[in-house]
Amino acid sequence: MKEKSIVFIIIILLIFVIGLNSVLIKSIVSPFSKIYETKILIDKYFILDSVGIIFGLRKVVSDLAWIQLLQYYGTQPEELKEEDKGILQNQYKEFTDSTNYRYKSFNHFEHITKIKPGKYKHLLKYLKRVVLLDPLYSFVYFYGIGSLAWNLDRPEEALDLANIGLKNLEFQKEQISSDYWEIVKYQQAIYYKVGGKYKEMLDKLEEILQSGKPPNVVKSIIANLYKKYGMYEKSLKLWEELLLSGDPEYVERAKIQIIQVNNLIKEGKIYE
Amino acid sequence: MKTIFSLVVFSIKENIKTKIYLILSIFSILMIFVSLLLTGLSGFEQPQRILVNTGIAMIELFCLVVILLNSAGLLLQDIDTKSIYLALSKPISRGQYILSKYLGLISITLFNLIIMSFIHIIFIKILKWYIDSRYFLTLFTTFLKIGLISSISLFMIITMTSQTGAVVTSLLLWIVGHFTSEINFIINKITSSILRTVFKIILYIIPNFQYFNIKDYFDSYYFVSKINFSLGILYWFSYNFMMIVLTIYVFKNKDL
Repeated sequence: MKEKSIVFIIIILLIFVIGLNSVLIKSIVSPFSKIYETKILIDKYFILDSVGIIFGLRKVVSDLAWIQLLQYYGTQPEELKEEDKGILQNQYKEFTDSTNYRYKSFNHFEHITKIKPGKYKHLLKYLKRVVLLDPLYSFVYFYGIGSLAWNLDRPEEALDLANIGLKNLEFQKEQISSDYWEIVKYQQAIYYKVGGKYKEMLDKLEEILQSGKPPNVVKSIIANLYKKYGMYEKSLKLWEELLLSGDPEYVERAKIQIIQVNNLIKEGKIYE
Repeated sequence: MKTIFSLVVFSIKENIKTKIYLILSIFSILMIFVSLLLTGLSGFEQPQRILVNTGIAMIELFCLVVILLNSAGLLLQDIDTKSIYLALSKPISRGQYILSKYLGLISITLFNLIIMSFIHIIFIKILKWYIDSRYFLTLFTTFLKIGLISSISLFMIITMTSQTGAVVTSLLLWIVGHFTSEINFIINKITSSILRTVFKIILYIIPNFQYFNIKDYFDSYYFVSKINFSLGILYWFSYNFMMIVLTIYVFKNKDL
């Protein structure tokens, strides 16, 4: 083939490729925020996150971020400094005042674990980092919203995460059984909690349970709430489920709870 | 055709014989084990997801490194050992030589993909998780990405004749190719229309890997359904064809 013909073929191909790529770029529908929209929330992981993104390995980096979150949330919470306590108390007061939250006292509230408010204060940042890297990671929304709202009693942060989830999963809005509507249920349950409507909150959490999607952390929260409100049979059933799951995080706790709840049933204790 | 086939087989054998390939193969299997370790670290919270994602990413990374190092190394090795003269003295054109090199590279990619995904699937099955068509679709798009970078890498080594230069440039294009829509956004902000057009043309020449990078959202039916695969494959074929013709053109005019 003559040299001129090869050059001509290359030029034609180049024009074709340019045209095709211009169409392709416009047609890319991506679930991810653009890099320029990305705010790296935890500076110490900036390099890791950036390398993952530039090599097209978002999912792997989001998985690493998830493991780091589990490590953070799995370790003993650090003791709060006095000044931090003051700031958190003020924030808490502002929130409870603005939402007419039933329990005004910082230390008296509806949390059902031994974790005090203000502990794991960076949890929301860790959660946001994971969903920033992978906005479709629905499990993180469920896990995070449940932990923030009920384990740590920070409903305002839980609602913040729920809003991010709703925005990211908006494309699922048309499907009734989608994760989008699951987050809406969590959101509603939090509003009931904040408004002191615990019966409605429990009903909503029961709906979440029936969907079969809640993580074990949420199941344990609901089991604790059942116990708290005297629904021992339901609580027992959930703890047995957690025991059978084999999840090392909950097996030991489930064993203790099953004994306790069984005793309560035998004693015929009623919630006061 | 028979000559090209013999050269492709020879090229595959050469690829497999290299020390780099051996080291990387061991490393890749170790990396899949790392994904198992990460799975263990996540405890009961989403271990299968971590195994699937890390495994797919390791497969892609391994294939990328093998292609970048082998495409650059093998051609220079052919020149060093003078085997290229032997090949070209027979009735084999330079075009056939380049085509066989490229086919050899993508064949080795396919081979790597099959072996690694087989190991990966065994691990996934051990963890009693499922694999559906989306997994294989992700592997297919990984193959397309590696196929695209192979032709680019081959062009770079022919043009530059420097292994480091070719590897670095190909790697840079790999990175930039994952940001085409971001770059497009920035270019749209340029006020000067002439500059904007020039940059747009440059952008459209850069290979668009973003289009094939579905492993980052393959678990979402919605986003996968939005991809126009026929257009993507047409782009893949035309880009590869253009790169190979360009490589042949440069190679024909090269003094060996």
